[in-house]
Amino acid sequence: MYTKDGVDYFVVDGHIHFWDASEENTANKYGEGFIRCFYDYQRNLSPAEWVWPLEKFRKYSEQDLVHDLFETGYVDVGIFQPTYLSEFYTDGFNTTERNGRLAAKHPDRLIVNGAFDPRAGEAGLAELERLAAQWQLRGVKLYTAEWRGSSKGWKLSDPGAHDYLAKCAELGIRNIHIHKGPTIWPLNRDAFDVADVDHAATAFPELNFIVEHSGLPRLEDFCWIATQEPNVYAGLSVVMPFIHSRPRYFAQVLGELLYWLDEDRITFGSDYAIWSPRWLVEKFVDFQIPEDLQSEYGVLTTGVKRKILGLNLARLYDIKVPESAQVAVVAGQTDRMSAGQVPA
Amino acid sequence: MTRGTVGATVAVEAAERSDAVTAALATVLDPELDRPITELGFVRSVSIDSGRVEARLRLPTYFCAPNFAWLMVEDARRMLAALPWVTDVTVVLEDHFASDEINQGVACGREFAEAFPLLSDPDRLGELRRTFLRKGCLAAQARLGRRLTGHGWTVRQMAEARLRDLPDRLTVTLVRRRRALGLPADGVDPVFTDEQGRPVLPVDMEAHLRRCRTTAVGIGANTEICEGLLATRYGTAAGTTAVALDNTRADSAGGAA
Repeated sequence: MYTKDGVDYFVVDGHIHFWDASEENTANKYGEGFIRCFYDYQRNLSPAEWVWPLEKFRKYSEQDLVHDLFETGYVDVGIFQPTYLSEFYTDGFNTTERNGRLAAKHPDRLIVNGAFDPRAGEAGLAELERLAAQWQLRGVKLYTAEWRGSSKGWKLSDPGAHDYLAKCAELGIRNIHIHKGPTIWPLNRDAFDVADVDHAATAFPELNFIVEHSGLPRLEDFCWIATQEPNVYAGLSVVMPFIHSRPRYFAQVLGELLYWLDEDRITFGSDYAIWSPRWLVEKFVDFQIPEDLQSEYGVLTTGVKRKILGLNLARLYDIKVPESAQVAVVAGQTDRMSAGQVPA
Repeated sequence: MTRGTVGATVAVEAAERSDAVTAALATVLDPELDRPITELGFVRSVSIDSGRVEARLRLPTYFCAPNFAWLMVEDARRMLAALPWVTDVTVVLEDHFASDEINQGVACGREFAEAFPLLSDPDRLGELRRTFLRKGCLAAQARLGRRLTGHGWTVRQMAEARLRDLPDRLTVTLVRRRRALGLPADGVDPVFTDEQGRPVLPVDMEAHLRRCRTTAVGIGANTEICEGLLATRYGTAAGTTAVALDNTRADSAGGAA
């Protein structure tokens, strides 16, 4: 919980990792390139005092995570999003198993998400059932651009993916987080393409589709889909750190998301350990849309900030929120940021 | 400076060639970011030895999408080879996980799909390029729309505006992207059009400009990340190695803003 000026903010960090990219676990030059790329993201967008030494960044401890999230980072609940990368790292990079061992020690504070790849066929469905039973999965993290054998990625609209999404619905896995971002293999398609989300969101209205990084490089395509599909959400991982060094762009991206989606479908994620929640939460609560952009984007209210920082994800993951941090409903007052919204 | 007539002639010629190379590279766009690679700091160095030219490129990350990287290397090679005095061109992409395949593939005149036979489909790269040129058209219209709105233009005036009604410096980016797509871009053609080049009606102008704005914000934010990552990777002066000659800067500065 973060408290500022007498206002409580319940914080759900929807995008955290517990990875191992130590030299011992790094299998090849791709693994080396991958972690260095992540490290450049940290160095590029963090305040100087939040940049770690490379050695720590490659492999941080359980205590680091607990300290940075819960002891100093204001996070009430963190949600692990796994990233296997088994071909780059001997024991995987950030697997459900690795996350789960840590989550088991903090069952009230950490949520473990699973993963699936529809190209694994029937065996993969059985594995998903096993993961769901073992970790009581409420969400999965998907990488549609991942190369596998002769396959050049997959789409949420593939028939095989349909079976997996149906299985998720059956197992009560309601939250489908989708990474739309750089692919590590030379595909000549656009790995950021978000069009397949539209199809899946229509086919499975009972599932929530959280597009991580808000489809950022394809922001307009994402917004267009999210406008039409009420069960599509924008995850702010990677977007939020703009608040420090590029606040104007942060205001514009957030303004666009609020215009096209509305405040109930935007979720906070630090992408820890790339960035740490403490400075993100502090800066976000202090943030306001620059004056000269307010005629286009409106202003951020306390209610909007509360929803984005925690209440929206609390709703998706059935997390109990203390009364003091709920959005107050005041007659005649709206927390809407801008007029002319599409129905959510 | 070299003194004496012969020396001066040689120096002038060298300077002209250097300018011509920079100008050629300034026509190469990062397709996603819709900006010349010279402005983005992607040209690390250029060397000219009579008719031989070598350009070395670098990108913000080791894992930047190889398809886009391929397009930039290929375009750079083609633009340099088109200079009349150039006899031999080498374009080298450095520090990328697929550097070898891209450098050799482009040098041998292969298609992307041939260089990565198992990992790509034929004929998709051109389509991708067109997708991003279309986005570039929308982003350029967002900047124009903002400017014209600021000058008090109504949606009807904007819908009726022809390219010849505006100064070239404001429309140069839009015109280039449209020409590259084979869309109408003459003086009599409308300023505001959809992705297929169809004019936008006054009643649709506000929604059209909204979509254009979101496109521009997306491209702008992506550019901010890429520029920051390049500076992080190569030092803060990374963006200043080459002189920007493409005058698209005049109407693209600051992305969406």
